[in-house]
Amino acid sequence: MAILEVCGLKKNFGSLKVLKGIDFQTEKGKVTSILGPSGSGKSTFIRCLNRLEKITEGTIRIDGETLADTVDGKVVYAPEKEARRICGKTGMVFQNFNLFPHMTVLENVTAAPISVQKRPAAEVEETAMELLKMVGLSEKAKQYPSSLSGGQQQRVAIARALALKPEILFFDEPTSALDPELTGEVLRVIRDLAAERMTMLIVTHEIEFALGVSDQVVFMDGGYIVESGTADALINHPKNERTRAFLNRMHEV
Amino acid sequence: MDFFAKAFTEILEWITYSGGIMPALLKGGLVSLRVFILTLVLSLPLGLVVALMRISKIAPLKWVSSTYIWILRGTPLLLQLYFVYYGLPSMGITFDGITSAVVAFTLNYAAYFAEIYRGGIESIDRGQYEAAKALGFSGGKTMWKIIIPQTLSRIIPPITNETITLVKDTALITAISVSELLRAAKGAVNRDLDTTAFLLAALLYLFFTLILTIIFKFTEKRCSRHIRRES
Repeated sequence: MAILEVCGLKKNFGSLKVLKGIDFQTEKGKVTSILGPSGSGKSTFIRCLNRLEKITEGTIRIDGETLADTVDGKVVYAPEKEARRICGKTGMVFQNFNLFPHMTVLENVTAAPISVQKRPAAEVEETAMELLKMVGLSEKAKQYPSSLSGGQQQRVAIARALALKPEILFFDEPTSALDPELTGEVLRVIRDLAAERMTMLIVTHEIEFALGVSDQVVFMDGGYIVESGTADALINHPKNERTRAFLNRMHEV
Repeated sequence: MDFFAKAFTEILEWITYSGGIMPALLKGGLVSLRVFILTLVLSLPLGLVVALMRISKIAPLKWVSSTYIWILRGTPLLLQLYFVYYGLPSMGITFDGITSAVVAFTLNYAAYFAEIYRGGIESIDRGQYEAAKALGFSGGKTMWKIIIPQTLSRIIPPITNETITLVKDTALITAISVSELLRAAKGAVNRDLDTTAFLLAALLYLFFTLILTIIFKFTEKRCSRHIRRES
């Protein structure tokens, strides 16, 4: 069954049409990369999926539950509490990490499970320490984010998102704010998650990485999904002219 | 030798005199202190309520809050004090001097604190709200657990400023005949034709603001543990 189903998704910012009708779906355990030039709407698309942006039209279903639907041309969201619960099945990793600076690394990871999911603190802390170990940062648990490098902060952010035990994880350009020598450590963590069959949706510019990690690659341009398919088919044998042009540009860099 | 003996006697006399008027000054000082503490305890939370109304998405709340801030910051504190003490009784609300002072000061300082809080809250990066939302925090929890704690280190310096101003503003209540520190000093000066009392009052104000500065410095340090300073 599809864990995420998007139909006819449109998003306008005022008169600017950013998403012009996106149909997309993915299954449990699948890794999908979203490629495309800047301004193509990839980040907006992913941000619509957990209500960071309110959609203009379309349907979003997560794990079989309707988060947003369009009835008679009007978007209807699930009631706030319900919507929060449905979005609770998703996790998000941001380009700029967005760790909470006033909390230690451990507190960053445990805050939401304790105060949102109301899980017992002892259990949450144990899980959090395991997650920090997984991302290789258990010795930094008591430190504040400001003393960490960008790559370390992003790994904490991944652990923080995982602590809520999401069904699907969204990455919004997770390495774009990092110095080139720090992207590797973050991509390695994502690769480990892929090996564990974590369902992920990754907006990225790292084509080599996308090729290696993804079951499915989606190419977006001008507010549409222009082409999608297996990583190999899309990256090595693109059918669409715009995909080809984009990939050529990326290879030149 | 004669000169030193004379000077010594004078100093001794001065100390004896100061010791004599000190109890009256301290009594006045306690009244000032009481008004100060009550005002602070009431206006700090009231200011937060006003600030949250000001940034709320509900238009009437916003409007009420902006008007409140505009009026309270736009008129003299002394006038507000007169209004509460002399004006409200004609509407059937009568307070004694100290209560009037606390009411007027609380309303006034809440407006200033509200703007400080608002500045602090608005200085927090949008990404913090987004991260909180993505993690499932409700609006209220986002404010309490994520946003407001981060504003503390930023708002403490301006709050220190306002608080020190409040210490000195307590002297205004001498205008509604409350025997606070300045009035006690003035009484001694008028009675003895000696300005020593003013000097002693100044020292008491200074001592008090010094203690406050130390307390706030300590608090600021505690609230900014997470901020890395380049050493």
